[in-house]
Amino acid sequence: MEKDPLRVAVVGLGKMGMLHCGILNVLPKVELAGVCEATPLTRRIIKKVLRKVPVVANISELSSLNLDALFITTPTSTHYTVARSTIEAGIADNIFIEKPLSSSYADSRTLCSLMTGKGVSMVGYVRRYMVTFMKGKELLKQGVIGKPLSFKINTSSSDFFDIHDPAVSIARGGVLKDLGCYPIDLLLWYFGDFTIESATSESLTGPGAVDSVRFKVYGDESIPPGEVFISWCSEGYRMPEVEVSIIGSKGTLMVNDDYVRLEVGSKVSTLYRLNLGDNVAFWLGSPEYYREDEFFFNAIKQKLIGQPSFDSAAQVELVIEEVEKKANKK
Amino acid sequence: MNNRANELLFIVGDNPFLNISHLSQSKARERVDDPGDPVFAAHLLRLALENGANGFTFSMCDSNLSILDNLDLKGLDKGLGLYPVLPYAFEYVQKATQRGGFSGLVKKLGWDMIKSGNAESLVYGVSTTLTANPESLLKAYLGYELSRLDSHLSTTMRLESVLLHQVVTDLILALDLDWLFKAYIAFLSHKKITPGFNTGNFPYLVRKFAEWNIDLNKVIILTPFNKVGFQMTPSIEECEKALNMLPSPVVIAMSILASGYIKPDEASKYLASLPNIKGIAVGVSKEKQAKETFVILRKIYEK
Repeated sequence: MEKDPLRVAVVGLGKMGMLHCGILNVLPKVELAGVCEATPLTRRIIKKVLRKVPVVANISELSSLNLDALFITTPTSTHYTVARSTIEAGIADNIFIEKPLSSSYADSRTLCSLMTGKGVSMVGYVRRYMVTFMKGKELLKQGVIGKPLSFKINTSSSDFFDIHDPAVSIARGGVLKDLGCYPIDLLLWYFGDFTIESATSESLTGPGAVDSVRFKVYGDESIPPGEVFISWCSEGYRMPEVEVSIIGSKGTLMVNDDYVRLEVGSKVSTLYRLNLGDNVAFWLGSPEYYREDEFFFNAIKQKLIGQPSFDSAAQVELVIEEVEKKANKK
Repeated sequence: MNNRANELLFIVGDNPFLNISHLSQSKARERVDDPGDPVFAAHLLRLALENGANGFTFSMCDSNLSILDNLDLKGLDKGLGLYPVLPYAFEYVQKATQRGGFSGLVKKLGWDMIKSGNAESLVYGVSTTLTANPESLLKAYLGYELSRLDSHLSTTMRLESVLLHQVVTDLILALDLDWLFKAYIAFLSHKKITPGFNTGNFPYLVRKFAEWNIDLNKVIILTPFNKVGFQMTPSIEECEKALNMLPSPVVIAMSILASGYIKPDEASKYLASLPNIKGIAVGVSKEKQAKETFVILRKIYEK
């Protein structure tokens, strides 16, 4: 018999943690049953804000809350230790982790093993829930542009534009892990596994930082040859943006955060979010966040696989390490 | 002639001045004229005011405050009504990113409040540090932002309302924090400023405010209304139904052109068919738009 409502806790109350808390509190048949925050001042304030929700300092304190699911929204460098301890302690069967799954492929694989035979695992690659990228995937699958012949992905943000101190860039693990995981996940989602041909990286904020990365992908049966560019030092981007362009035997498909542009023969069509049914029941941040969280709970109820599951998302770390290896050889 | 146009607020929005397009960010980057330049933005704002606009709604950020500094209101008898939206969430998220997270941001904000020398903000700031009381934090922050705005106001500018940013309004709504809304309303009402709420969840907000006994006659709600249902959550039908339920006109319609997808004359026909609209907010990025948009929007109400 289906348990109703599903009880969930959030670990880590940064901006993503707050956003998920809000959505979880409005999702039907879901109850925000706990919050864990390590920083004392933030925890003190949150206790007074979320008056009806238990707010704890340590993950172990969540074990008494009879949780069905857990959202881990701590900094990436802590994902592995937080996730490992919660899974081993059996705090919740179903785990959602904000992207990326962990800081290394080995750690991600360990988390995959620990989740084997347990509930739903999912990683927060939110572009899979953006209507534009969903439409792009559908058009590609329908073969609208024919056989894909080549692709390009441009991923840019201005987070570190005109910043000349590498400390924060380094502390965040570099652009490849932080921002690069998005186009890599999209490539894996659109085409499946692929092999890196070559890679280069640049330090733009200062020595030791990785602020810009470019890599090429070999073409094979499942994926055309292509190139990926990632930078968080680009000028003029209010928010991080990803743009995928695919040239096919019959036409061209371009997808970004705002629209899908399709060119087949002489016919050019542009579909904006408003043409693609972007409405959700509650809008917080962007509609895709609601869609993502809603899917996670539907997956729990209907025993589906998380999109992406830990297993799928771990491939991102594998690609990142391959790109790092190739870039460091130069 | 029916004077309905004279009862409505025609407000210039700041999205083009911040290089925002909710339809396409790449198109916003490709604009030839730079509405992000405060001098040019002030010129566009003046043109719009000369041609039917009577208000300005804007995120509280340095570049928008600089527009106020550059704005010449000479010869404009009715002056300018201001509807600032705060906090400017984008700026805070960006600062948090560049300063290594929220602790870096809090330190920076705390330091800014101290430097502002605003007594109210300092008192509530100290209270927050001692008690971790979110209401004190809210009051410290509001006091700081109002003092920040104060030095940019000229005698012909009127602070009509202060609106809570969409992300904050909707997060507070989602978390059921009615007491925080009430504290916000009480703080601004005490200062004779109409409390405003920018929301992307209009029907949800109307339902919750009614449930929490928040007087919908005494607030302003800034929310999307357009004929294609762009950003109207959960649906155009539900938003129109909620509009009908309001006790009085308190809605300022935004996203009326769906970021350029709809022409102003089409937009105005739809808006004129709706009840309980208090005003219309729309951005302008070119001189032609600044001259024509509000003339077109007003026309249908003057018939």
